[in-house]
Amino acid sequence: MRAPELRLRAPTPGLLGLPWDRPLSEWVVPDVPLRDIAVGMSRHLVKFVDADGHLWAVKDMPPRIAIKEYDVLRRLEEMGLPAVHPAGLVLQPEFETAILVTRYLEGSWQYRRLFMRLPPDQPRHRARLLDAMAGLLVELHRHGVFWGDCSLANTLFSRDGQLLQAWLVDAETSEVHPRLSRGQRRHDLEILVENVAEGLVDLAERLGLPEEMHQTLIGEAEQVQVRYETLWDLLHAEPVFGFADRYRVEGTIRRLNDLGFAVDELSLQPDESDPSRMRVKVAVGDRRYHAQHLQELTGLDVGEGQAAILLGDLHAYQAQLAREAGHDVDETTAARLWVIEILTPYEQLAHEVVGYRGTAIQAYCDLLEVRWLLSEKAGRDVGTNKALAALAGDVIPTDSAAKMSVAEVPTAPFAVLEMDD
Amino acid sequence: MAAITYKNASCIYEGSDKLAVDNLNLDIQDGEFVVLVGPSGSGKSTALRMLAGLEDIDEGSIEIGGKDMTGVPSKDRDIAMVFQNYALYPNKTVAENMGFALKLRGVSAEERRKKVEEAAKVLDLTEHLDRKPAKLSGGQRQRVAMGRAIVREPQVFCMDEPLSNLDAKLRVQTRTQIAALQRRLGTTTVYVTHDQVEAMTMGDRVAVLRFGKLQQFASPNELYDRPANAFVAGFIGSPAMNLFTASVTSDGVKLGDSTFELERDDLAKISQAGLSEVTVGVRPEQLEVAESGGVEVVVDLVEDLGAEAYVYAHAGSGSDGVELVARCNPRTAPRLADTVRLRRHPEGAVHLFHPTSGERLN
Repeated sequence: MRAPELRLRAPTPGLLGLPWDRPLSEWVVPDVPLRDIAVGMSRHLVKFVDADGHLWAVKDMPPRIAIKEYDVLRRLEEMGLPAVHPAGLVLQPEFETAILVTRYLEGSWQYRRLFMRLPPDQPRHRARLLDAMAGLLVELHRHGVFWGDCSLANTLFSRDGQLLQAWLVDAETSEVHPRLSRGQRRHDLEILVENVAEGLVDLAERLGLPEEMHQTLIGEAEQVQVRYETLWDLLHAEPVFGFADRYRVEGTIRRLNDLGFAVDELSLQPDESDPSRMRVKVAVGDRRYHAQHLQELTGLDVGEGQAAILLGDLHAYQAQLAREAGHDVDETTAARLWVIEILTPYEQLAHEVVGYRGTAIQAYCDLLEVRWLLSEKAGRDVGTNKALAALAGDVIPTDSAAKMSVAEVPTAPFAVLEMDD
Repeated sequence: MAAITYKNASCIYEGSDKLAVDNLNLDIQDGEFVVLVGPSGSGKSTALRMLAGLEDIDEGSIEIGGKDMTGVPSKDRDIAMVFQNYALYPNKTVAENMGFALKLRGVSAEERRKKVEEAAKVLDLTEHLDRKPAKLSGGQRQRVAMGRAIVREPQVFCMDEPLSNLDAKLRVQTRTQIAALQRRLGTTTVYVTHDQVEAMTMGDRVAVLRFGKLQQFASPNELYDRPANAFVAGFIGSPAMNLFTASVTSDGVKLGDSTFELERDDLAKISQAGLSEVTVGVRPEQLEVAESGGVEVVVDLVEDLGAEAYVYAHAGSGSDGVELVARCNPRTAPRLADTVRLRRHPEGAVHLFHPTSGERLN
């Protein structure tokens, strides 16, 4: 018997001790600490192992594909892209197969979990989902990554303020290039549209929605192209201004910052066709503009969507402090006080009223959203306590982002599904 | 269906001054099955991707059905692509997998069913239409992936190493099916592979590429019998053609202590080219083990395949040594370390190439 070849990036005792000399199909409880996770059907055999306090996804695949996927995932990790982290690759020459090990993304969930738990037909939640998909594809393409099989089933989602963050979980068909051509991007986008349409239609069938819904869902999937192109164009725009109008650069930067993108470098060059005018080129950095700023002020490490909301709350608090003091209060002082006086107590309260599901910081973001929605409806500020009560009783608008917390309760363990009937 | 023309088409690698595809010219007939073959880095996949709209055409043009495709998005080129990594929906049946792209285009359920059934018949998948991909063999899954392309009735199929994920036995079986299917459908097909056997067995014509440049575009027989240069001569054929560069003598070339004799016409061509050295190519089946004449060699290995055997031997030694392969009858094959003579069959062809440019001389 030929021994397996192991490459583990987290050589912990639990992982090392797994039965790598046996085919994955033979891994069973109680010999192996497996956990059932609802991830839907996969083209390959996938199991989840609980070892050393972490959850690991182990996927059986042909060695050539496994090696390729492992390498691509490592490249994505180096580039800081939202994708599952590769933890190891085990070649099993005895069985002519390989096992790819990735670290399970804590707090993430599959799109089905959200929509199976919400009342049927939720276009606003679908819009958030599709925004996340388009955003992920733009991020990958900006870094020269051709996904090749972007689908809802190959993506995990996690909550990020009022947004969703999409994570690539399957890189079997992916390729990393120095730069993608327009044709490659378009092709990837076509695959995305077809696969997302399939995912939404499949879900509608499972939910027993009428067939007339299918064309609506297909239409929504097609809109991902528009979402993608709008974002891509904004990130790659090269506006031309007259020299006297250079203050308009600020608007370009603000639009990027509002979307969470930091600006690495700005260059103003005379336009080739009209040298009296300036062409603005912006080198766009990571999508952590607000997150970075909040971290500098408070030390908090949160998602970009969460940071945008929290900074808004901090600035409102700063204005309130200034009113009370009768003079300006600097942002750093306000931030220190905001963490102690506002964030710490209320995030605990919010987390408690939602039954500790998700993270405390996300519960606080939900509280802020609910307070804003209720206040808007009432035409006045309803206050935090009323919002807490609404959150506790789950009497919040169905299409609010806060409602997506239903996805954060893990699915109870269930028997392994058969691959076919 | 449509003809395809590459007109001086070039593609530049990002961040490099090297051309991934350099001035490619190909005239592909309507309904033809053309294979692009070459080693890694030859530009074969890039050339296909240029046709599919996935790579920019930096210079020149590509026409499909007489229309210039420069700047035309791939979805508007009426092509269907089949890649090595085909992603079927695991939760959908074969019929649903094949028909979903049509549903997306608003094709009615009845029309979809008709097209899927027709494609399934051609692909021999009719009895599997209600099954899910997990219940199919690798070859059947590959055919479902092709079915997804076929139902769209494209003008052109682009296939990028579609068999490389299959094991050797299945690859042989599936390549025969794909070639037969293409002939039945009559759809113009451009197929990329690094495997010269796949290229030779599938294509009506084969384009051999190296370093982005077209080396030869011809039928499999023509490539085998009259390779345009030493690279094509060595790339096409298995075992590879014997190729050695040697000094020219009055009646042939010097090989170790012997002379490998050449025809008078060939010697005249070498002389016309003013060469004192020449690269000689002889296919293994054009050499025979003989009692006398030819070149003296020492046998290094005999590969007995049952119906035939290949003798691997060397003539001369050190820097003058040349390795040769000859096909022979396994019943009369020499043994390891035997000293024997190898000579050209009376009817056997000898290929002559320029020792530096590699171009064919005869």
